[in-house]
Amino acid sequence: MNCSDVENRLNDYLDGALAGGEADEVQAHLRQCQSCKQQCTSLEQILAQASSLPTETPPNSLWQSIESELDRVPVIATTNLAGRFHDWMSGLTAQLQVPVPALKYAGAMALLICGMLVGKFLLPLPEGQNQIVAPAPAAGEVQLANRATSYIEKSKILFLGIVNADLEDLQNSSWQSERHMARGLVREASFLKENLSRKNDARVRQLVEELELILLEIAMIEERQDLNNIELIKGGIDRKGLLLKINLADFADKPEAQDF
Amino acid sequence: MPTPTSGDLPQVKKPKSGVSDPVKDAALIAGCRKGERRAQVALYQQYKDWVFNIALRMTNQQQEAEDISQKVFLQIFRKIASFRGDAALSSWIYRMTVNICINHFRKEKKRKEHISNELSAVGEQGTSGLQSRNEGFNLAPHLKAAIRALPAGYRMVFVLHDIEGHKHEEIARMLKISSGTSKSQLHKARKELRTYLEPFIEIHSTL
Repeated sequence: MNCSDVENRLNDYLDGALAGGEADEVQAHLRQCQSCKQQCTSLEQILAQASSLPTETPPNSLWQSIESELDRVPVIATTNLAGRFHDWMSGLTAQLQVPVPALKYAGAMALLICGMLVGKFLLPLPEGQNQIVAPAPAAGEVQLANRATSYIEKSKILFLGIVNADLEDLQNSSWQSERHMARGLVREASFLKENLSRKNDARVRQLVEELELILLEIAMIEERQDLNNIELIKGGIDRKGLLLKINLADFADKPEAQDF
Repeated sequence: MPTPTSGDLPQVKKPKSGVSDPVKDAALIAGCRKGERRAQVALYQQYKDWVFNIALRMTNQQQEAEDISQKVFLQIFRKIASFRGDAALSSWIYRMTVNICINHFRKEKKRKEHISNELSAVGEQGTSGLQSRNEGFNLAPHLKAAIRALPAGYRMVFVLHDIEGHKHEEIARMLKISSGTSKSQLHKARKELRTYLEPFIEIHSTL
């Protein structure tokens, strides 16, 4: 084995990746050749130092940057709700014992039905067509009801767009407009949750929160998402569609739920 | 080049210096899930050096390492609820850090500068090293400068193999290259490092 052979095998030799015979040959050459031995020793020293390089400490300003970003974006709500979203998803899958693809398509249809139900039961009816006789709500309550309705409608449109898009298109999408819309709706959800405080608002508040779970996932999505995250969101919307249907059917049965 | 998914990443070894403590981690995770700032600070304190140093070795600059570290921690806090505890928290953070570094590396324009561009800097440090030889020879500063000056492709493979301890097969999956390419990049990286560091080692050995 000459110097060139040894140089080509030096990495494998030091990594212990040479077969016994070859390793012996390299070793024998190193005993005779001062130049190759020097190379080997240098590399050994470099590798030893590389694996024990001293740790460097990031500047204090790093945490300050992170903290200001944490203050700017609602991470607190995100983490809690996202956790609940995952728990809720796995719980629902186990409860329903339905294969995910079946849920996906049933959910898409259900979402459409939900949209119609939202329109029928939550949108303000033309004057004179109110079927339920209730005391006239105060101006603030009407405004709140309108905001809640708008929130639900916009969420529905956003979700329908995602449910009906091809997975590949979603994967290559920048998600810019979806993200922007979802962030706006998340902010609106915070307002609604704070203000839907009456006992009769409980169902609507719950619906707002459930929609918010998926909105948060969308608000956090990044460009060129991996397939798993997109499927999680699409699947979540599908299944949430089923839940919406149930919620809205409840509203239809129980008139007090319409009273924001 | 497609973005790697978590499935592409191999099992990683535990952090070197006792970073991972399951009991402490569980408390940090619970606090961060509730959005507690105190838990976020504690988690940051626990992992900041580790994350920062991986980023620092893999990138070329302090500022880039800081940017990556910031991104890593924000992603940790935003995604902590989706951490299911199948693996250690440290492994989860490690994968996130490496993934972000790889994405950063892919976005980085092909670097034109060669290790020789940094040779003068290494040389200056070498001279000062000689002047203070009574304090003992320390190769680390020269090595760090030389690693940072490596072309990005060599550097990534060198860091993943010789500092982080991954095998070529794992590196190949992470970087979407062949094992042969990983080996070849490592060979070139080590050769570059040896070429520029050997004089310092030789001088020291003759003193």
